[in-house]
Amino acid sequence: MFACKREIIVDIPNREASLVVDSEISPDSFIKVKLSRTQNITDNNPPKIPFNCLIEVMDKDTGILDVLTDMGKGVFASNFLKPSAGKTYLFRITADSRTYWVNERMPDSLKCKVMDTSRIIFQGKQNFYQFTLDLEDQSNRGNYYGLRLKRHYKQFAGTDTTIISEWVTIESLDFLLTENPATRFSNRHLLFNDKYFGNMTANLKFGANGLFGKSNERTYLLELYVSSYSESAYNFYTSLNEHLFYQNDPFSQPTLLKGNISEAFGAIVGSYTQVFKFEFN
Amino acid sequence: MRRILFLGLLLLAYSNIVVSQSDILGRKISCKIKQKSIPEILKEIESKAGVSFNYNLKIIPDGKYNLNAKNEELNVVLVKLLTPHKLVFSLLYGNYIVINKSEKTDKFTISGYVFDETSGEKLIGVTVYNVYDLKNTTTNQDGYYSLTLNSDSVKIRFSQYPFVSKSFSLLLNNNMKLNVEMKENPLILPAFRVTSGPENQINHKPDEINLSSRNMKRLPFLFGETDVLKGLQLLPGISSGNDGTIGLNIRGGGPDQNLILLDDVPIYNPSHIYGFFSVFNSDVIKDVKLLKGGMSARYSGRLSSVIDVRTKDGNNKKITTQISAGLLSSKLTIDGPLGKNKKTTFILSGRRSFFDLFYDLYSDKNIFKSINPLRTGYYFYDANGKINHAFSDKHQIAFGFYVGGDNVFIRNSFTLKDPEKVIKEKDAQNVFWGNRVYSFRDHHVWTPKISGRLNISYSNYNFGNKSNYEYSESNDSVQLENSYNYEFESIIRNSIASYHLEAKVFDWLNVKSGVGGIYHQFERRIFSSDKIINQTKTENRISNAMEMNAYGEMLIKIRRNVEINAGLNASRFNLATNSYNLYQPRFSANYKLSKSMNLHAGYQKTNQFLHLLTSTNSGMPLDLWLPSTDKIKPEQSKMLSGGINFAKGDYIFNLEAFNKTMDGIIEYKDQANYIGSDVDWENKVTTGKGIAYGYEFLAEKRNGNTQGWISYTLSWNYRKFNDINGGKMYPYKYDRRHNFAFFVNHNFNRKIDASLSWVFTTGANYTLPEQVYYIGSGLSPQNVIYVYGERNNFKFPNYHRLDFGINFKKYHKRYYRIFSIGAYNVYNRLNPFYITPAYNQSGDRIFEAVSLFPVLPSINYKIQF
Repeated sequence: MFACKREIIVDIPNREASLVVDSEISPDSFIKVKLSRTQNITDNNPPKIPFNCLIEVMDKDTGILDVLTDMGKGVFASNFLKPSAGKTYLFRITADSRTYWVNERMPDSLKCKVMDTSRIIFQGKQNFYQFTLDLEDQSNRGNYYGLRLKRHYKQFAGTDTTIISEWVTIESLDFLLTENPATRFSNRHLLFNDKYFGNMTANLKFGANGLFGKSNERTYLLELYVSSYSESAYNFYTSLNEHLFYQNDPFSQPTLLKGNISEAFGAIVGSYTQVFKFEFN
Repeated sequence: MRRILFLGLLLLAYSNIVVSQSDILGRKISCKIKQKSIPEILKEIESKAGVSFNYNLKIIPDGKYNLNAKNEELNVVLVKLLTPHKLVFSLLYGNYIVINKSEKTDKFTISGYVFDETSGEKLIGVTVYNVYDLKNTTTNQDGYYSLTLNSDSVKIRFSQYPFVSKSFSLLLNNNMKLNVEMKENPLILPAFRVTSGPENQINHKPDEINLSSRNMKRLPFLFGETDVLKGLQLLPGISSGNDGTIGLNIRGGGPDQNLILLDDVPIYNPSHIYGFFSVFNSDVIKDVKLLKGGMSARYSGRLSSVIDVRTKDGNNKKITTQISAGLLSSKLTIDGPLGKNKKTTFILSGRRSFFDLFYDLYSDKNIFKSINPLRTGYYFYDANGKINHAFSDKHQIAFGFYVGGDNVFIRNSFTLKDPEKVIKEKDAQNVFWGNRVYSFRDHHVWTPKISGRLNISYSNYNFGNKSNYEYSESNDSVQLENSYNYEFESIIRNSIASYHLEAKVFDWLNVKSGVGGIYHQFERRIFSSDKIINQTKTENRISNAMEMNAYGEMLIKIRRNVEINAGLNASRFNLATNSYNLYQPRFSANYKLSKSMNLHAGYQKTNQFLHLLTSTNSGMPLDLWLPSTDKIKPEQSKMLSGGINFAKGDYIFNLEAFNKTMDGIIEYKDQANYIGSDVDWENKVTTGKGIAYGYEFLAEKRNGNTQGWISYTLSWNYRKFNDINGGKMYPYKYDRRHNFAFFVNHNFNRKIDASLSWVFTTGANYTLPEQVYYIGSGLSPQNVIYVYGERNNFKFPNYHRLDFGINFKKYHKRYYRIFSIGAYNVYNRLNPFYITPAYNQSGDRIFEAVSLFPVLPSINYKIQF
């Protein structure tokens, strides 16, 4: 009613910087890990890179598989090693004269098929684009999944045309997709587990609104990303969604990211992703 | 005729004797006698007071004694000297005083009600005492008093600020009833009165603060509304939450730890407009009592304090009407007698905000309405009523109610007609909360020494939200319809019955006891329906709990200057198969060191069976009250407090210290946030401990045209939870080290008065991120992750604010009116409501403070007839 905003100087103490590890490894690409450091919240410079970094990838049985190459700007990558589904990898990271360990088990491979796409009226929304997906859960142990939808479209303004790609909000009333309260934190990266369809095939219905129908926009490509995640990936992304959801809520409790590396921030997480493309003329 | 004249003269002669007796014993003397025998001391008093003593030397004890008196009444000096030796005195005739050995004499009880002469309202907390021996009592919450005295000539004085004291000289030779009407003294209007006893405040309790309806009018007001809970925030030991909220943090406790009673019925959410105002309409409040320590055993159910609000019974002289209009709301209050015998009185009052109506007026003129059909609004309302009937002086009943609520809504209605089709769309969303209270009360005076009170009541607190969506599309051949509804509501219902007895067993012993039970019902309703998928979901979960308690307490006057209140409250709480039995001992003692100085100490153990899960730390209404379970046990607290108070002329000075520990208090775990449901709530919270200690100081000037006070609190307040902050102790969010308030009210004349208040408190604690890192590619804000330090690692800037108000009164024959103008936050201090990381226009990370209230001028007009 009467609120006003203003910038305020807060005296933030300079804490010691910690290591930040950021990596998603998947069977279709070479292992790549990014290292950086935390910085004071009022420091608006790009993040600093740790000193004397070395990343070794090991197998529990065979020892060192590869030593990642420093590609610059804190990125370390393998030239040949792609992780395999269902296999466990051990990472030894040396940075700033300290050693950190990460143990990550890759998720199982993914079997899914888009059964149908259609335009329907959904909750009164015209031009709702709905996908029907069959997802086969393959093992008895807990599996974790994620859905993302990327829209590529052209935007017209006079004679100018802009090409835009963005993640869009997924909407669904499907119980399997919405029963987990954590899903409310992000509809752009919908995370769910096989709690109710373990070792069975789930028929999932979901979609997005506003993809079509605007006179100044034309969607020419939709990419549906269906991912199988390791448990640590699921925990990490769930907490990431929650953190971003509450980040601008001044009344919420602080939410921390659930990583898989002790005494450092971030995580190395495994995923297996299948991308379905839908082109429109 | 002659007989009547003779009787009249006899009565006049008798009353003259009584008056002259009281004059002699009322003579003021000063003396400082050291190590002298009693006959020697009496001789000195004879010379100073101009009286003669008559006694037998055999009854006078040997030994040397001291006597100090400074401008004290003779009767007080003689009580000091003779009572310890079991000697009594009486005025024989003229100026002769006879001293005798104290013998067992008959005792009689004088009892009755004390009323306000103007409105006929019964007055609570009036001090009633015998001037000759200073035996005293106070009127209870029904305005009733009972005082047992020796058979003798007595002088009973009734005293309460801001009323003119009244005295009655009587020959007490039988139990007698004395109803008294007291008249307000316009020159004595303190904003707050402490419970004071005979002139020298023998009953003074710094832990207890009283605020009467008259005093409330002099508090600073906001948007023309005087708010009782905001007024209490100006007192020591009490701090507020965020700017504009009425949440009270009393001696380190949270806002949910205050037992807020409206005519003995607990109120679960006392706020309107997200805590901006309280639900208490100042027009219907008679008296507010705040107990922050040394709590009576009668009260149970909350850890920190009791705020006992009593409503008026209604004017029993004439029907009066009050109409007032301010910037935010308008009020109408009517009260008066019913019937010719005026044994029945009533009061009705209603209040409603109208900024949603203003918004509508504005919207109607909005030429863009057809383009932007969205309508948002907010309103609150409340209504109070009470009907009171006196069957006799001994038996009275009252039925009262309170109904109030808040509603925030967004409505959207859209229709599109073209040659091909018609589209209609409706969307409505509501957030609402409210209290309902119905109470019945039966007060019965069984004997002059024993009175009882039966309370039967029902209360209901609900909050919820609703979302409705309707869509239809039709043309010549096809009709499409869809609707989606969602409703969530959480309700707590309480059915309450209790009986309280108060007995004057001896003139030195007052016993209070009672039994009661509360049947709690917690209900959660969820309803959703979707026409397209033809799905309807209804969930209705109800759990019931029974809370019972019994208490007994004794008020013992050991000597004239020592008073002890000791009590025990036993409580039992049952929920399904779980039950808890808890005992809460209470103790307080007053010791009068001298005429103007009191020592006070108190101990209390309290427990709380209900827990409040709040969605945010802003005191918003998305609160869930939940019962103790086998996993989440009742909250418990122990507090020790003590202090000294000193009176000098018109000034009173209080110094208090307290130490409080709390156990079993709940808090959301790290990583756990409110997600709109009470499912699995036990796993989202953790239980821990709290500790608070501090010192409070109050200096008050309570007479004259300029009155006011200065209060200061120095306190520390910490919490410790195993699952929060790595198990380390951290400061509570309202750990305000310094809390200072200044209030002054000045009467320029009968028509104009002004008030001014200034508060200064250390800023609240807050958890802010200290570091950041980036996840994913790029350095955009979407990739920034915050790293938090310890819980509540930062303090807001210090909070301070100046408020000002001035009243212009005009008295007419048939009505009077008050025109008030004022300002909240006069010098426009932008106190942060919250601080959050943000980005400036250059894309740099900064901290941004959001302040709710800049300088806010207000006007109010009130007319009473």
